[in-house]
Amino acid sequence: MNTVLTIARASITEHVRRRLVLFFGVLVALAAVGLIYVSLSDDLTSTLLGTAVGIATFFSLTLLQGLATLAAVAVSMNNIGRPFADGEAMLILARPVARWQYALGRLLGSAALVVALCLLLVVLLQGINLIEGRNLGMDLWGHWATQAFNLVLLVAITTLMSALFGNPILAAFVAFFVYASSNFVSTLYLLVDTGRVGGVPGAVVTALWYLTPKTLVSPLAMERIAEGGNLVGASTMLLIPSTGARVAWSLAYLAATVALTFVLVQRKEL
Amino acid sequence: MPPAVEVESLVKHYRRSRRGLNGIDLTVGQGEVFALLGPNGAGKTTFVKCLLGLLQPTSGSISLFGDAAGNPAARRGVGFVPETPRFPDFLSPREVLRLHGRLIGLEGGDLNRMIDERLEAVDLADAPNRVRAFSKGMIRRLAVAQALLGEPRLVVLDEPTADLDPLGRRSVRNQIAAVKERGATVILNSHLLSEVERLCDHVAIVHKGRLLADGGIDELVPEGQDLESVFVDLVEGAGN
Repeated sequence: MNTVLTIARASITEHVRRRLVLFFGVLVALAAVGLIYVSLSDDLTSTLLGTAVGIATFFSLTLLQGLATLAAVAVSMNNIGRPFADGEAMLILARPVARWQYALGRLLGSAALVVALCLLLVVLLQGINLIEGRNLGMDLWGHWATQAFNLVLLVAITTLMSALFGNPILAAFVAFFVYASSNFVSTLYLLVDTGRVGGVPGAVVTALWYLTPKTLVSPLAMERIAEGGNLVGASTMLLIPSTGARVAWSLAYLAATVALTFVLVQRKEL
Repeated sequence: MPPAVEVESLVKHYRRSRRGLNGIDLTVGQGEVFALLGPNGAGKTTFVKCLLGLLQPTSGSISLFGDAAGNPAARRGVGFVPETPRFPDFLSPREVLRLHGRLIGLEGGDLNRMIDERLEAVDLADAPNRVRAFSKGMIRRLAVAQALLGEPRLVVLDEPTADLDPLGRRSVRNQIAAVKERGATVILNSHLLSEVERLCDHVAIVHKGRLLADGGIDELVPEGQDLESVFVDLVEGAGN
């Protein structure tokens, strides 16, 4: 485990030096502070999207989540492909280090940074809520561990893609597409689940549904979506009904992604 | 005492290239300074990568001090300088050495002392704080420093003096001599035959993945000839 942690630590140091984490940290802070301004400017918000809380929640659900998602992809798109292509991995792997240890170390480094960013975001939001006496963005970020898990899943998918593709930009795009396809495929799967689509198309959709990541959904977010009348959203999230089953699914998906990364890294030639 | 390196019937074929290794048998004893010579594309770097478990051989076996080379534990006590070393751009040279030191189980004050010694030895004690600001020669010297960290019992050097000025070359030569003096084994890939003649006591010549010659310098180089003429005769004699 020491070997894995040593590689993870070096990976974290490198990302921090690249100022990538600082960049996203500052963006998250600016976005969160912007929420205060928006929530205080009742005149402005009432003419735009309705209530101050409404627009602030909208921002917290999209802007902050978007930033966190971008950060997760940015810190993991170079995990495997680039160091294998330019020979950086060679010097590490010439040490008593197994390839799976190298891959796991790189993945853990990225995951630690993303979790730290989540925590920063939650602390900022909770601080704002404390000052404002509001409950902004808490349907998502109140269950921050759920969000952190989803971002770690994205890190794992991006790392897998970086093992598959030499080009980090391509790896990032494909990883994002795979991650984001979850809801879309789940919506399609509803048609199969309710018996409206069958045969070969049904089998294809079912296969896709099993292949797309199963992110965790916070219970409060599910309630909100159902309250808001977004039945498709609620149904797709409820396709794996119990919280325990959903967690098991998500963990299994994460484990499978990491295992597949190990297989690809083992076969990669230097 | 097992040999430092034992290679039996080593074959490595690449999927998209005709280059590779076609049945290499070789033994390098502990404490020897061994040079693997050959023209470009002969298979020297492939040999080194197989030796370090970086490439999976198509067939055959390699052992380091009696352990299978594919096993990461066999690489404990092995230092390596690749043909084109590459380090994380945003780490300092000290952090690079600390990373490598920790990977071979060094910690604390001992590690810090060794890092100071190695940086001093390659004249990088006052180098810029980020590897990205390094010249090619400085990167090569840092690679030599990381390879010699922790006094490995086997040092594998792939063109260690490429990109170095005459002073840097001499420094690396002196360090190889010091490694030899403390009884460690050195494997050297180099095109500089004069360097090889000066440092090595065991030489093998490889061409198109096959071993053309293997023996002590004294056995391979007859009186009145030099290594370069022997090398050229052997490679040209083997034809294309």
